[in-house]
Amino acid sequence: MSVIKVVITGPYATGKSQFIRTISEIEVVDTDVPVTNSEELLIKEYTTVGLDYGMITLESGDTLCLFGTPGQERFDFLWEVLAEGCLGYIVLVDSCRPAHIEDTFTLLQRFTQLTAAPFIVGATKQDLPGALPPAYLHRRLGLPPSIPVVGCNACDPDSVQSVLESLMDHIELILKHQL
Amino acid sequence: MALEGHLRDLPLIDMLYIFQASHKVGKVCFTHGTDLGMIWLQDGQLVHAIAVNARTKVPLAQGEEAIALLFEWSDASFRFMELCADEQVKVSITSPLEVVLFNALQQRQSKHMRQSHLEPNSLVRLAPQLAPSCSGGISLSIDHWRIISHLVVETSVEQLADELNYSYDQLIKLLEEMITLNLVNIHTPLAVPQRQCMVGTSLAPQQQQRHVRSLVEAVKQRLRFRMQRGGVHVSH
Repeated sequence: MSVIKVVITGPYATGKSQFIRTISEIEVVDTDVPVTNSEELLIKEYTTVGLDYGMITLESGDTLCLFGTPGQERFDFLWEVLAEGCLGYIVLVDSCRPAHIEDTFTLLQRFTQLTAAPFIVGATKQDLPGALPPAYLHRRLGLPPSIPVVGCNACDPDSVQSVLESLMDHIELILKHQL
Repeated sequence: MALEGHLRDLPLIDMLYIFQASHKVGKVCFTHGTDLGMIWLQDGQLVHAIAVNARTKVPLAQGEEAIALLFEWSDASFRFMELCADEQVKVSITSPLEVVLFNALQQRQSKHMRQSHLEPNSLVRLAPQLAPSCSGGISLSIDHWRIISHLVVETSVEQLADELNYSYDQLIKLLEEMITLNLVNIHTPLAVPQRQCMVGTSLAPQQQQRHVRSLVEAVKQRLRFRMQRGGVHVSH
């Protein structure tokens, strides 16, 4: 039986914990603590300091494990550990906070160097008024056309599922090109 | 003694509003390192502005572009001066102060956004259209022309530095000037090394691919099953 690892990453307060919580079969193992930084407190009350862990059991008996990275850069030493051996990863970007686009770009630069695993970008909070369209975020992040940016709502199971499916489709496409 | 000081003590935006409210007539000279700026006011309205490099005498910007540049000089010193008796003041700014300030701040913001993305792999291309504020004319150095004549196709900063024999820092400075004039567009693509589908290292490449393919198919099947059943069982 295999354990398939998929990493959910992204800058602070993009909805990584919620993304995993929405789709996981088990109660998510999280390491959320109250926020102490006054600036961050304006955005949310709790933050992940270790990792989030969710799970989906497959028909084959294999397990799909979802690992959420902590958003703040001061915990980036954990990224390397989490990225190791992952099937692919999803980078979440907040569609309602243009100020975080730069942080997402920096994170993407780091992550693409850390692991050669395939990835896609999930543009969260698409349900909120004024959310930036995925195509705009694709351009602002300077992504190659081959990397999809999928709009989503981390609270909606169908939406989260479609992001995971997009990642699987993307991996299949890469496999096809590798043949 | 006329008004003089530093922009850190009297920000440009405050100064311009004060002059407008008091219907000032005159000019203000700004000094920022080796760069000099000058603005002219008629009845409190900005009518002309220019910025030059005092050492090389190369004009840096004029009109609204010069105002945008002055906003970058937060540590510049300034001195207010009366107009000379026979001084003919050129008019390069006709928009109301609010519009000039809005455009300058907008330009400064977009310039910062673009400059923050200047990397060796950033792609440079000629701007399809000059900013409307450049319609009064712009002055370019021979270095700017060299870059423009080289930009027949989109070229990376690294490649441009190689081909034109500029140091990287020298080229960045020139490109920043050209961004200010809206002569070039910058686009920084994310450098994504080739992706590899591998889970574990104990398998041969062919086996790896088969293994990954089967895992992906299993995940997709599970997700499809979830859709048919109307959701996974969530125990929390």
